[in-house]
Amino acid sequence: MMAKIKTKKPSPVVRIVDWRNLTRMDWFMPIIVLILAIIGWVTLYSATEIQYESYFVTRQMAAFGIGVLIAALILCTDYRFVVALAPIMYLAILVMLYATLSADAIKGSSRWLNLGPVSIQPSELSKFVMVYVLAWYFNFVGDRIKKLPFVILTFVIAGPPILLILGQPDLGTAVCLIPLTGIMLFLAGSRIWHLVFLVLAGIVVLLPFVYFQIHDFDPNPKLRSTMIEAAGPYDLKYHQKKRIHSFLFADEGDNDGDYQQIQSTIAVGSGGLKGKGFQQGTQTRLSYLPYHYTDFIFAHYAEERGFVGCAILMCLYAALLLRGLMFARECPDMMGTQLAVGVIVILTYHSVINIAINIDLLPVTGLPLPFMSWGRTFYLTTMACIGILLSVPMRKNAFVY
Amino acid sequence: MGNTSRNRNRSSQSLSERYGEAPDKAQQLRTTFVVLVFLCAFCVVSLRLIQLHLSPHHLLNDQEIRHIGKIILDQPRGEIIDRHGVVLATDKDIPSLWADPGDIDNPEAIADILVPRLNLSRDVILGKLSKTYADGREKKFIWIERYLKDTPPEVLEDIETLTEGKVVVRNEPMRFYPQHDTASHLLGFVNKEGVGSEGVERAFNDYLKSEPGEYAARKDSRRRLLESQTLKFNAPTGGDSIQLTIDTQIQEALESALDLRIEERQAKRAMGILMNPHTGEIIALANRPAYDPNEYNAYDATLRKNSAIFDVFEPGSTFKMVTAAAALEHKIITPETVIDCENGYFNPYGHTITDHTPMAEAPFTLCFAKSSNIATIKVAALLGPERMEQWINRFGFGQRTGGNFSTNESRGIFRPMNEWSRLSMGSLPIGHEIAVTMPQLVRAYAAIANGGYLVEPYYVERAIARDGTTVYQHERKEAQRILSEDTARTMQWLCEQVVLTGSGKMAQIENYRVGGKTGTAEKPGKSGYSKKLNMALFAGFAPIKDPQIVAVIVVDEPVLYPRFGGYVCGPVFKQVVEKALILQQVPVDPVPRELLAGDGILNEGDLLFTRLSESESLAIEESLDDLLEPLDSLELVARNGDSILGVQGLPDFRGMTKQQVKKELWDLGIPWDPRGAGWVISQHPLPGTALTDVALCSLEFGNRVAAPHIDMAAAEPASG
Repeated sequence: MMAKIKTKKPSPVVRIVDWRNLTRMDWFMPIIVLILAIIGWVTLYSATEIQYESYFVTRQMAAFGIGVLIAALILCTDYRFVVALAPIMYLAILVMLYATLSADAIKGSSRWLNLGPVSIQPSELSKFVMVYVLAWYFNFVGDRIKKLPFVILTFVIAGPPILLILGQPDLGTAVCLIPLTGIMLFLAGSRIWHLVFLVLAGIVVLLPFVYFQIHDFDPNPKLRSTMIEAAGPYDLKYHQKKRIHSFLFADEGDNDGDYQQIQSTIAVGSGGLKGKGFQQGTQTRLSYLPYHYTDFIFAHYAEERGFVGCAILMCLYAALLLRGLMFARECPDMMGTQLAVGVIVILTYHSVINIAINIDLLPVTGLPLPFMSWGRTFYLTTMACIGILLSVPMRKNAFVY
Repeated sequence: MGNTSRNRNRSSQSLSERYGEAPDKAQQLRTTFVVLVFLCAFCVVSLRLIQLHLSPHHLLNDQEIRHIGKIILDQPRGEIIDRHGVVLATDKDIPSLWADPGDIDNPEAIADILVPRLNLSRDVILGKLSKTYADGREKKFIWIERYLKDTPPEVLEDIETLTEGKVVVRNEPMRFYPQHDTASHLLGFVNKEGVGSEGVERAFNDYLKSEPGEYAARKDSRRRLLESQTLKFNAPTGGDSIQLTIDTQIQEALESALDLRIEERQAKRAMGILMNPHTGEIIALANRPAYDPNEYNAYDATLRKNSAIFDVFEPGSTFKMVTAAAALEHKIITPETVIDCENGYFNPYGHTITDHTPMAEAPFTLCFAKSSNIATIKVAALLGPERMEQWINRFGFGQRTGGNFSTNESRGIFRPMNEWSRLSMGSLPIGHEIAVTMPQLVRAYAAIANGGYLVEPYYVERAIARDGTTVYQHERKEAQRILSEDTARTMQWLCEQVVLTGSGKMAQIENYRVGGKTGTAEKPGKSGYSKKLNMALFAGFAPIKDPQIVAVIVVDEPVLYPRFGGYVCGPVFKQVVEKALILQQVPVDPVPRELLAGDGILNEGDLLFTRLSESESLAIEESLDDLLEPLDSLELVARNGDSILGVQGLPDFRGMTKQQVKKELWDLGIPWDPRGAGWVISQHPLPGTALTDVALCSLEFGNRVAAPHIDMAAAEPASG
C-alpha cells in the first residue's frame, strides 16, 4: 500500500485517499447531522449544566470535531481498501474484547479498556468493525452465500465477538450485532428460507433460555446475595432478569427493576405537546431521571421539548436513515450497499431501541442515543458511521478502474 | 498487502460481473424491504410517543405528586412568663423510645435489655414488640414508652447501643413547668393531645398553641426538598407567649406562707390573692394545697380546680365593709356615731345575733374594729334593704369580675331582694346569705384602697408573638367610681383601726400602715350553720397613705383554736404583703406616733361594758335625730321613755331572759340592777309603776321552768 502511494501511478482507480471526495460529498446528510449535533449539544447542556456546567458539552463538541475529521478521513478513503483490512480489524477487536473481559474479571463489569492515555470501549468499536468484517466476508464468499454452510459460517464469524461482548456484559451491543448480521446476510442474497430457518432456530434456542432464566425468578429475593451473583457464567444477571421480568409482568410496587423506565415515562409523558421548556424538566432537575444525560437523555429531551420536539427529532433520524438507505439502494457496488445498510442498522438500532426503552416499549439495556447521549467513544463511532455512509456514494460515479 | 490487492481485484471482478454499471434490482428490493422494516420500527415508536405525550395517563400525574415533599414546620407552644419575664411554662424535649417491630427478630432479647432499665413489665414489652396488630396488620412503628422524664440519658444511650439501634430515642416536646406547683392553678396544664386544660393554658390556648406551618417543595430522588422548587410555604402561626401580671417571687411567698399556715392551724386548705388596687393586676393568686402541672395526672381533679375563682364562700365579717361604706356614703352614720351594741346580744329578726366582743355603746369606729355584728345590722337597718341590695351590687358581688382569666368564673351567690327572707337583713350585712369569690372580695377592698373605684382584676397582661410584637394587650376598663373619695378615706381609716386596735392586730406590718378587716365565717353544714367548721378570712391593704397592695387571705376549716380570721390569716397577710411591699419598693408609711401612743386609739378595755356619759349620749342623740326618721324598726341609741308612746307603766319582766329585760329597759331608758342568773323571778318596782317614778329597776334572776311569756315576735316591733 505504501509502495503504491510512493510510486504515484497516474491511475485514479488505485488512489486510496482522495481529498477531492470532499467536494463531491452529499450535503443533505451533513446538514441533518449538524442539526442533530446541535440539538444534542443543547440537550446535553440542559441536562448537565446545573451539576457540571459545560463540562460535558465542551467535550462532546470536541468529540464532534474529532468525529468530523475521522468522518472526512473515511469519506476520502476508498472503502474497499478499508474493507480489505477487515480481517486484521476482526482479530484486533477480538483481542481487545478478550483483554477487556479478562482485565475486568477482577473488578467486575466494565466495558472500558485502558490504553495508556485514552480509554476506549471495544464493544462500541466492535459495531462498525463488524460492519466491515461482514462486508468483507460477504464480498469474499460472493454467491456462495446461498449455500447453508456459508450462512452458518457467517454466524461462526459473528459469534465470538457477540459472546465476548455478552460476557462483559453488554447485552445492548451484543444484541445489536445480531440484527446487523441478519440484515447484512439478507442483503448479501442468502436464501429467504435459510433466514427463516435461522430466525426460527434462534427463537427455539432463545425462548427456553429466557424461560429457564425467568420462570423461577423472584423479583424480591430474601437474600441480597442472589441479587449479585449469577448462577453460571452465561446466566443472566439479577438486574437483567429483573428488567425482563418487570417488563414482562409489570411488577407491582417494584421500584428497582423498572424504576428508570417509570421515571423516563413520566418525563416523556409530562412533556405534553410543547414541553416544559429549556431546563424546566423537573424529572431531570430533581434527579428522578437516572442517566438523564446518557441512556435516558431522550426522556429528558421529550420532557423539555414535548411532542413537537420529539416529532422533529424522529423526523431527523428518519431523514438520516432514509438518506443512508438511498445511498445503499443506489449503490451499484454490493460492498457499498452492505456497508451503508450495516451502518444504518447500527444507527437505527441505537436510535429506535434507545427511544423504545425510554418510552417503556422494551426492557432496559444500556444503549446510547446517537448525537444525543454523552459518550465520546460512541460519538466517534457514530461520526465514523456517517463517514462510511457518505463514502458509499463516492464510488457510484467513480466506478472506473 | 498481497491479500488486500487480491481481495480488491476479486471484489471489483465480481461486482462488474454481477451488477455491471447499474444497481441490482434484487438488491434494491431487499434494501427497500429493510427500509420498510426500519420505518415500521419508527412508526411503532412514534405511536407510543403520541400516546405518551398527547394523552398522558393519569398515573403520570400521581407520580408527579409523589415527588412533592412536605415538611410540617412545628413550633413549640408559647411560653407563659410572669411580669418580670420569669418562665412559668415552656416546652421541653423529653426522650421517648420507639421501635419498628418488623425490624426486630428477637423480641425476647430486646425485652431482656429493656425490662431492668425501664421498669416495665416484660409482658407489656413483648406485647408491644409483636409483629402484627390484632387485626393482622403489620406493625411498623410503636412507642415503647413515651416521655421518659426520669430515665437518665446514659440509660437511654445504653438501650440504643445494646439493641443495636433497634430501639430508638426520639425527643418529643412536652409541656414543662419549671416552677412546678407555683401558680399552677393560674397556669393550668396541657393535656396529652396538646390542648390547654384549665387556667391560662386553656383560656389563652388560641394564642399559646402553634398551628404547624407547612413547607412543600419538589423532592429530588434522594428525597431532599429543593428550596428552588418551593411550591408552598406557610409559616407556623401562633405560639405566642403569654405574660402574666403575677410576680413569681410574691406568688411563691404567698404559697409558702399559706402552706405553713395550713400546717400550723391544721386547716383543710387556704387561698390568697394579692392585687394592685389601682390597676387590678393580680400579683399573686394561690390555692393551697396545689398540684404540679408537670404531673397533673397524679393529682385529684379537685386539687386542680382553681378554687379562688370557681369556688364561692361566705365573706363573713369582711363583708361588713360594704354596709359600712354604704352607710358612710349615705351619711347615715359617721365613724363617731355611737351605736348601742346591746352588750353582745340582740334579736332583731327572730334570730339572736351575738358579738364576739360584747359592747354596750360604742362609736362606729370601735364597732367596726371589734367587728360588731349588732352594730352592723343596725346600720344596715338604717340603710334599708333596697339600698343594701343596691350597694352589694354596686360593689360587684354576684357579678363576674370580668377579668380575662376565665370565661366561666363564678358569679358568686347573691339573691335579689325579692327572694330575701325575714332574716336576710340580719344576715347579709354581716356577710351571710351571700357567697363571693376571691376576685370579688379583693375588688371590693380595692375600691376602698384606691379611693373609690371598682377595678377589674386580671392576671393576663399581654400575648407576645414570636417576632416580639404584642398581639394581645389587656385593656383596663375605665374603673367605675362607686364611692366618694371621702368615704373611701374614711373606710381606710376604719380599716386601719381594725388592724391597730381591733380584730386584725396580727396583720400589722412594721413601717407600713395597714388597713383591713377580719372575718370568721361559719360554714353552712347539713342543717344551717355549723359551729364546727369555719373559714377564717382577712382582707386588707397597705400602705394606707397610697395603697399599693390589696389582699385577701382565706384559710378554710382550721382545726386548732383560735379560729378567728384575724388570728389565722393576719400573720399570712403580714408576711406576704410586707414582702410584696418591700419587693415593689413601696415607700415606707410608718404608723404615726400619736396613734401608737394611744391618744387616738380606742382601747378595748376602756369601752367594754361601759356607757357613754349622759352629756355625750345626749349630744349623739341630738345629732342623730334627723337620721332616726327613716327608722321604723331599730333604734341606734336609747331614747327617753316618753318618746315611746303607748307603753303604760313598767312592764312585767317576770319570766324574761336577762337579754330581753336588758333590751326592754334600754328602750325605756331605765337603768337596771340585775342579780342572779336565769329568768326574772321578781322585779322592783312592780309592773305598772309609772315610768317617771322609776329611777332604777332591780331584778332578781333565777331558774324557772316556766316558759317565758314573751316570745321572739314580741321583740320584733317591726312585725306589728
